[in-house]
Amino acid sequence: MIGKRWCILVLVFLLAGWPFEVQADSEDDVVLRAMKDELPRAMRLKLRSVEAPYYVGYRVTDADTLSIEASLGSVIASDQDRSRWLNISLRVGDPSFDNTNFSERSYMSRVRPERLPVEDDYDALRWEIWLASDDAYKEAAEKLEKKRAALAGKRKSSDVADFSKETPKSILGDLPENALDRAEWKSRAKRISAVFANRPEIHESSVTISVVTTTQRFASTEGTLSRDRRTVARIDIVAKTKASDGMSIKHFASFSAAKASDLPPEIELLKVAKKVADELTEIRDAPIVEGYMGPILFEGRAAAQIVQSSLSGHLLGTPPPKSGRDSYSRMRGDTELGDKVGRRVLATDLRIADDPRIGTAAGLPLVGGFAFDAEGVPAQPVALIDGGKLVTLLMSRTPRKDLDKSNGHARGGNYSPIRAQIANLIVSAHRGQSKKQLEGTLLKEAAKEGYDYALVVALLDNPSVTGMDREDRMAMMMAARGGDALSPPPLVMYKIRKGGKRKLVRGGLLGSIRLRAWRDVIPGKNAAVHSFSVSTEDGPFGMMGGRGGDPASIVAPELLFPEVEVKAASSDGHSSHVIPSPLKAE
Amino acid sequence: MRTIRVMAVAATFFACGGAQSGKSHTSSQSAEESPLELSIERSEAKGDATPAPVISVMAKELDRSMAVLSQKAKPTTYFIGYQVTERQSARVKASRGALVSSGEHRRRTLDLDLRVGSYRLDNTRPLRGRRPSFRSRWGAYTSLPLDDNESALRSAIWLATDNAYRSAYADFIEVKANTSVKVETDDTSADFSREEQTEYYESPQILSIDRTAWEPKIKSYSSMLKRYPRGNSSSVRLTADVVNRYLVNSEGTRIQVSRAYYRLWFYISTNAADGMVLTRNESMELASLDEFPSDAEVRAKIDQVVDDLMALNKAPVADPYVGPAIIEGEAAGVLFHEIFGHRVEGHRQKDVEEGQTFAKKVGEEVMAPFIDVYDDPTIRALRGTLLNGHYQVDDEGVRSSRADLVQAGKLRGFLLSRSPTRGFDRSNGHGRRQAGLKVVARQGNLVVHPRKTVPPAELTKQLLAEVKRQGLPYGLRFTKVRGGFTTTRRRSAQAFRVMPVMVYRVYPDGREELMRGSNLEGTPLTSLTKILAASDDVEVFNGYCGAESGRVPVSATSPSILMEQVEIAKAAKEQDRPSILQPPSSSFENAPGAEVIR
Repeated sequence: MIGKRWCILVLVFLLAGWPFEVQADSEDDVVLRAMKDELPRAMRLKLRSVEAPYYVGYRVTDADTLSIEASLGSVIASDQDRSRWLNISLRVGDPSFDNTNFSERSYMSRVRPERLPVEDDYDALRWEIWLASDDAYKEAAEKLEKKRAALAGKRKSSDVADFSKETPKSILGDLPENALDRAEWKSRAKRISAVFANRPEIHESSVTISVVTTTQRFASTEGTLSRDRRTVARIDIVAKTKASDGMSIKHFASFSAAKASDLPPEIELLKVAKKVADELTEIRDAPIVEGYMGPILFEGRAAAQIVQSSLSGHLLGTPPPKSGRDSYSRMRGDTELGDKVGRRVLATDLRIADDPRIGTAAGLPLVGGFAFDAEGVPAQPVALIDGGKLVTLLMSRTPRKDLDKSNGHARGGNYSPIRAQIANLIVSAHRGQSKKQLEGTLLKEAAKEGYDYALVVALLDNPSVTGMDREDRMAMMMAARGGDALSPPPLVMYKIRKGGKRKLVRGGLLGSIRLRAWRDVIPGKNAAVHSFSVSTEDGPFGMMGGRGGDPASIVAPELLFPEVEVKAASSDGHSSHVIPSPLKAE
Repeated sequence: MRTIRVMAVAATFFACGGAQSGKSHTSSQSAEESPLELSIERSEAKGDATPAPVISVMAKELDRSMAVLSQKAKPTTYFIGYQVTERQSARVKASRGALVSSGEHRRRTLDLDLRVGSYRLDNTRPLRGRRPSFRSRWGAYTSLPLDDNESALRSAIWLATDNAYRSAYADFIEVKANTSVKVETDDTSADFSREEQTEYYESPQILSIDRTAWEPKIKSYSSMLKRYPRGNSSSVRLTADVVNRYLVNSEGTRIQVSRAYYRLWFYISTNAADGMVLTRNESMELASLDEFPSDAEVRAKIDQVVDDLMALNKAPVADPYVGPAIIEGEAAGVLFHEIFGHRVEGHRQKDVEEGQTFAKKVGEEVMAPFIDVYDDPTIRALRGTLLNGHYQVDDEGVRSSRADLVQAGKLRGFLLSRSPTRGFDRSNGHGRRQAGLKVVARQGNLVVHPRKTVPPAELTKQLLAEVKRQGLPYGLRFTKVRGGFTTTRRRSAQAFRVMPVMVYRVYPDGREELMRGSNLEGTPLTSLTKILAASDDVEVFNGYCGAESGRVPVSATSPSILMEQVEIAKAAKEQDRPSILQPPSSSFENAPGAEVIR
């Protein structure tokens, strides 16, 4: 009975000191109002043995999804879905040591969202938020006890805190209506997919269109009350076939934009589909690449893709969760750049920044933007690399040594942990070489290694678009052997010879590209964009584009790496079709 | 990565249907031998509708594939079966008066059964001494175009067939190696049964539902669950599924069947003061949306669910107990489904990893001599209640038929797919699957039919006599169950568990007291022999059962039974306390100090 009166006093204090400045605008938003009204109550959650929360943040995500898949002129799926999810960040303890930032046994703690009614029903919303907060508090209380026990005796004064201090800021964005002609997009998908219908040499093809409108609402006990709506429209064109030796080969094109109407016009998409079909046929008939160890030029989407697979992970500053067992921390892996701020880590001609606030870069559309991040921190531009030197890392509110502030890059949350992740990552060159110069350098460097040709890669696989079959998984496993960062297999690769003459080759896997290799990279001048779905999860899921990923874009110029290994594809394990195609038969 | 190492057979019933509508007392009957009248209705479909275009496209591709695979390719393919499942679904879900989700989906998928070798020995034979792999359970699964575009359909079917042949080829080589190095099994039956060629066409149905008209209704029902005062989650859901299946195989069978499922479902769950999770749910199976039950009927059911939860919240916690019990129809149906039904699935008699509880017991007495048990998917309705496990043709193209399992207490047969087992070389139309998985023998409509019954009041009398004889303070009555599961593999205990929701103590003076938190547990062979009597009130349990071949709709019909002895164990209790704060409400907010701090 110690504390009944004391607790009530604390409550009175909390209520009196409530930091809200109610904005007229947010009062009209029923969802925000329900979130805001449940916050002070959540602060009163208290079990006898554990403190009340010191922080509660509610994030409500509305997802309006339209997806259409078509093949050979027919619709395979056409779905429309609307859902609303609640993520609660509830912290018990104090910012220096709380229930978060800790992992016991699980590889990485996941965030489990609660489903909310899609209707703006104030009472029903509050009821669900109340129940979810109750669960979240009990879970947090238990986690804090476990963390205290596991880290007892291991805490040092040099330990960094669990939650950074930020100045709260509310951003109330508009909620534009996105009218979409579903029937029109359906017939467009059919028409584009029909391009492959008279191409019997292509065995499998699909056109997928998705338009996802996401509304984020955020309210916290620090007084933040924010709202933002974004749309990502996307079209993927995928084609697959087999070479005469049975090797599976594929090709794809993918476009993303902030509005369905900003996607390339149909006439252009029809051309792209035809080009994918033509190139795939050419690749099918191309010779298999030989083993190679020398310079490679990544151009077009492949340059941005190589940034995704071998560099972007190192720019993320959220440290791995604390753990009672050191081996877990090691296994989880932290960026190699953690202690290199101010040092040169990449080629001096490189400059890298991430800016969630912009919608285009070098005239290219970006889709990774947001107004505030998964922890309610306003988006901000972050210069990461300048003159090859590391300026800072992308941060969430989980601090690391020397980087104790968020820079508004927390992402994830739906079945994946909340950590720093890229949004719109822009890689550029201070000077950069022209295409001609790059090709010259490439051939010169190759000659030094004893080659009379060099390799150019224009497209890498994106398994979250093209799918993964058994052959792909085997190939990935082989590529992973002995390396660290995995690169997806090249889909479009050329042999280039003196005079700039190019010839397609097929097969082959890229050896790993270590961070070190980026010190010697020579960038070009022509930027290309790669938009994809990024996850905050480590491990293979993360690499695959994750489950419940967030949209992201990378813009990069051509990148010439002086030394990359290409492993020749094994001629085993392929098998041709036993039954001839029905399209060919007629 | 998904593991099915243990392959526990979990049968989860989500709810019961027709607890009220299916209950029927014929109390005039005496305790003499009197076959119980079940008023069975069967489908009137003749199977002479016009085949849809997709059938001919499937047949074309089948013939083309067989021409290559049964002649030019070695080893040769002796059988191909294609099944196209066209599923149209609509869902409307609401909670506390607000819409949670509302949507419609349509998918067409292809399931493919391709067999290399011969009926006697083919690529599907399980490899002995190996754990079943992921692949052994999943069949070939492909999404197909929703329209009847011939080249798009054929192209997708072709790729799936070609892939299936290549994996079947690899599997067959392994099977042959495995058979030559392992000892002979004592069941030497073939891998695939020979069945008659069948043609049967029903008219495909189209799902037509105006969700916007249903949404307010479902929302209003969900508001009724607000009557439960404490912290709880609740929802009301309307689901409508139309499943059209098209089946074509290389033996010449051509099938087109259609089945619609409409279901209204209520759910409410709370934590008792000691943290125990209490849930109540009910469902109503509907023949069509036009035959929706009256508003009063639905509301009465929702009220019942809320009243039950309130009563459970106040009820004392069950103590472990061994003694006599009455298991009422719906609960008894689940009990039979778990302890008996899953163990007479044909493939379990053959698989050496299985417990094979009944494999060699045909002709022997396995339960009380006054009981018959059969499974009959041809029954559409029983005493006016629609049966969820009704189908005309199974997923291997075999016409469904009544499988006599127990007659006068003696085991007579098994549920059979086209996987023969010792002494049974033909299917009885029980090969079932969820689209995407491989077929195994499953239950459809399980019916427990006693040859001798007593009125319900007499059953209670007999229970109390048994309580007295065993010198116990009380007996038990189980009325509602949430579901159950059983394990049939040799590596695990041969046991079952049924999770009751409504369990009463029945005292010698006739008083009945509700309790909570008990599990009904036991071993199958013993439990089945402990049945003393059955009553003449029959109930139907409608639900879905999950096992190796996925989730399939089933029903179980049974009278109330008196068991000489059951065992109940305390259910695992969640350690969570009930909600700390009072529910959000305007009256509360003005008086924050009134809150209880625990």
